[in-house]
Amino acid sequence: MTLASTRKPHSAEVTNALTSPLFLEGFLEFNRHKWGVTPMRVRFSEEGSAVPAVETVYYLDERGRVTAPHISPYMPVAFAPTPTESRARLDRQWLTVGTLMAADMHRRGVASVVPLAPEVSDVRPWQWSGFNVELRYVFQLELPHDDRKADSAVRKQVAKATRSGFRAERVTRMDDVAACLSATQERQQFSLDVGARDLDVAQQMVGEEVLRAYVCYAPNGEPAGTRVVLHAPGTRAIDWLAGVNTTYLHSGGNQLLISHMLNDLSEAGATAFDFSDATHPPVAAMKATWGGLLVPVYTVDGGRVRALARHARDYWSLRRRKASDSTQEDGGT
Amino acid sequence: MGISDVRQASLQETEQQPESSFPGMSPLFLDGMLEFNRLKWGMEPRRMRLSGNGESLPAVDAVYYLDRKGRVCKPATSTYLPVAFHPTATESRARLDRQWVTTAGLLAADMTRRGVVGQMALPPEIVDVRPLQWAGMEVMARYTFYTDLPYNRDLLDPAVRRQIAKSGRAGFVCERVSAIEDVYACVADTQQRQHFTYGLSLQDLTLAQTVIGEEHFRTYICYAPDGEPASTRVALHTPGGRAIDWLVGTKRDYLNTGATQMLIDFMLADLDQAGAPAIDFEGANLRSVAAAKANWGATLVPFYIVSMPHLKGLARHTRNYIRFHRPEPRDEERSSGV
Repeated sequence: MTLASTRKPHSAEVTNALTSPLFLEGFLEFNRHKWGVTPMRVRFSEEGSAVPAVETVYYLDERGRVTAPHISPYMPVAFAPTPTESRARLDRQWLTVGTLMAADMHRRGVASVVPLAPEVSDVRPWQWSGFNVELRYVFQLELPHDDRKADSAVRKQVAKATRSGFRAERVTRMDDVAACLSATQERQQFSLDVGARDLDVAQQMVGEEVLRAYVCYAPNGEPAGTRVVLHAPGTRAIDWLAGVNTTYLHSGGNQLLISHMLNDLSEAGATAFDFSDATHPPVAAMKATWGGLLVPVYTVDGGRVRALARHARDYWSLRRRKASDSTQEDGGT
Repeated sequence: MGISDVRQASLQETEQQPESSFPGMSPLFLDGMLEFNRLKWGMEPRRMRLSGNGESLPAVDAVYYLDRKGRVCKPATSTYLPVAFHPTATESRARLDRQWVTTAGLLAADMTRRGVVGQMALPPEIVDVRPLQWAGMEVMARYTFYTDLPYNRDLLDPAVRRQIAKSGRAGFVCERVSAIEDVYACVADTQQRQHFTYGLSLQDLTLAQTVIGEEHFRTYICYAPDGEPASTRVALHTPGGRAIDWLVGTKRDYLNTGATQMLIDFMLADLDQAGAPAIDFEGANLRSVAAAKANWGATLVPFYIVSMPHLKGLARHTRNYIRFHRPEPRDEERSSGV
């Protein structure tokens, strides 16, 4: 078995059929530029055969270990089987090439938690290679989006925002985008570490058609909410960054923005929309109202010391909760 | 979803309630299964129905097995914790999502309140385990294979077809039988050969057959031309529900005769006639076994194992960490069947 590793930063994509915007050259370059990682396109197949094969993009840290760049949605994975409809054969082929990939990642080392693309539903190659595998979820919406699939509350919010004079548009003014992103980061106390300049650079590198930024403006012209999406025609677009100005949280502006974005992506040839994280309860509840399909995403890591620490934290927090619950019960009787 | 939510919820423990019957019910919900687990493992089965705000729907049905301290346990021979979700009549994904998150949140809170011993496999139809994650449980992904019935023989691997034809020519015969001694002989041989145990004696199998009933506890044997039992399978079945390929065994003398393949073929046809829409081949997590099961035109399906964070889990994480970072390769070790 051989490993074909191709590092061609400026070449065309290795795959003939692009399966995800995360394979696009510009996105690799942006991650190199912004996070100092080295992107590497890799393809795994058995010696002497072009297919079955699996392709991915590694981002390597300074020690040559595979890592996930900050705010990069997934490690893209494209599986190319031989032309067969036999499930047994497809299963064998995936296990063969998936195991080559997992073994190669194991050999290089893994420096962070790496989320595999949602296409990877069979994560056994990583389990069998000794990786720690964990589970997250995302919502996916088919495009064109059928409004009737969303909650009636969503439709009411969209109508309310429209009546109030909110309007959503696709923009290239990254200052407005960054303002909304900052508001959410401040409110929820996390950091994307991406500013207006970074977004300008990203858009130059990947192109305006790929990195699509949307802003919803309040009637007074103030940016109320934003979404930044990665898109390539014929693939599932990915919800990359999002933010809402605190003043407009309940204005319906966010729903109007999402509705506008879904229509635009559909017209631009996206086959579906990946609404990203559905694991964080309040975010998941908001996204669920759009009627998406809940899809598991598996993350792999090398059984890091941090995982041990997390387990210990979970253990003690559960003990604390149980103790507090029994105190409440005692108090209530 | 907090633990306190359980107190406002309508939570029924229905020990006396007869087995609930609903379309697609798993055989794990059968009264006989509960009774067998009670007699064999000394655990107290308890049927649960959890729903919010006094409504009958949406609801989650489950069967707990409780130990003496009242904690939720898993009988060693039980495949999954039986869980079934009953939504209201809606096709709205948003509404279904909310209903599941709410009712499964009640289940998760109730389980964490009682305590969970060891690892609990949820049935594969439970795709969304977020309510259990949010209640502080740890989750691991595992896989099994489903084959829809009647199964499409065109999807069969040619090697399997050849094996079936070979045993037919050689005079092997398959039957659904009640000769539990023959079942046990094949199972015991496999246990000895592969150094594992189901934890079931001949008396246990007899008990299971009696308590669960022969219609639900279906035993199949492939006999060699000389009348010797060569291979066996026991399936758990209830009409309309997905059958479970529960116990298997093949005597070592008949390993390469095609007897196993012939028996699976026979069992699938019988279960189809008995009204099973599919079969769960129970496990696709061992490399060697997974390859053989994949040959039956089966679909790989994930299921999730939940557990409470516990000190043993820390030990497991530590072991995984050491295994991952030690220098020697793992492939050879695993291909030897570890």
